[in-house]
Amino acid sequence: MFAAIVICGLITVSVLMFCLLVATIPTRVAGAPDLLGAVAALAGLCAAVWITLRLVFFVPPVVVAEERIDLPRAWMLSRQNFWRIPRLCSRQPSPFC
Amino acid sequence: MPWPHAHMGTREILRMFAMQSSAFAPLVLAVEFVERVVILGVANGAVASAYLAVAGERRRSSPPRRDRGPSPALVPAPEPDKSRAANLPRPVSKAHMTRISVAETIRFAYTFAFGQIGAIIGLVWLPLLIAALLQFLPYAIGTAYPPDASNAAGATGAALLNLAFVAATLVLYAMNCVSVTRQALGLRQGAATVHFPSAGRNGACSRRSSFAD
Repeated sequence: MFAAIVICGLITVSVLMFCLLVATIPTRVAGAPDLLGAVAALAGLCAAVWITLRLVFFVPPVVVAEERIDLPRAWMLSRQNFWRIPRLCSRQPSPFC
Repeated sequence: MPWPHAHMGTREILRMFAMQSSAFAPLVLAVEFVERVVILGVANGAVASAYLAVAGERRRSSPPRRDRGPSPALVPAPEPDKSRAANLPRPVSKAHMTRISVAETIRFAYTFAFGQIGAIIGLVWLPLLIAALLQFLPYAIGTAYPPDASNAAGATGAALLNLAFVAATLVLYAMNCVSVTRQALGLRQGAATVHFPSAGRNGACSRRSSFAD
């Protein structure tokens, strides 16, 4: 589980950095408007959230029940359930409230 | 004049006022502990319930698993004809078509967290206590705020020590997640007084040293 947590953290950071890097490409093109860069950054952030939620949400039970770190399995289990995952998370108590 | 505690949240302000009175300090610590237990129970219960909903049948009432093989709920159905195996739909293709019922998942999470709060406390209190000590230790030994910023070697050592404390705390939180998730999945049943799992192969909890389980 510790390895799973570390992997999930690395995935989150990597996906976020990659998506933001891709999203800021238009801003580095000469003459690109600021609005395009903002939209691209927002799209990159949304993609990072989407990938991270789908990859990370089912990792703990997959690790515990199947006794292996299987990211494709976690990705597959969250298929067609992406919009339910934030709804589930929003109904749980948060330590940051 | 700006509010001097504007950077603090409401909970931090209440905690600060409560901790100034020594009579309330144990109460605040108890509330913090119960809060962490409930968060652990609800979060892991919700994820476990969602996993059981999409991965297959629910085995919450089944006896605890003692063998070392994969979970019976996850074992695909036996295929009678190996030659047709490639053409048959895999069980996982049915699994990922299943939608998560948000209301049922949340209901199970809160029922699990408050219905088995005694077992959850027994599972997590020792790692939580050690984690609290590890979080307090940098302040006790003075590595949280290095006294001399010009001493690069001392600052590096303090940073490495703090990193080790954070890593150890993360390991303890992972242990708690494993214990509570196993309880929520039905792989472990019954109450617990003291529980300290240890990581086994593939990073999963495969062996545990339960003193009075």
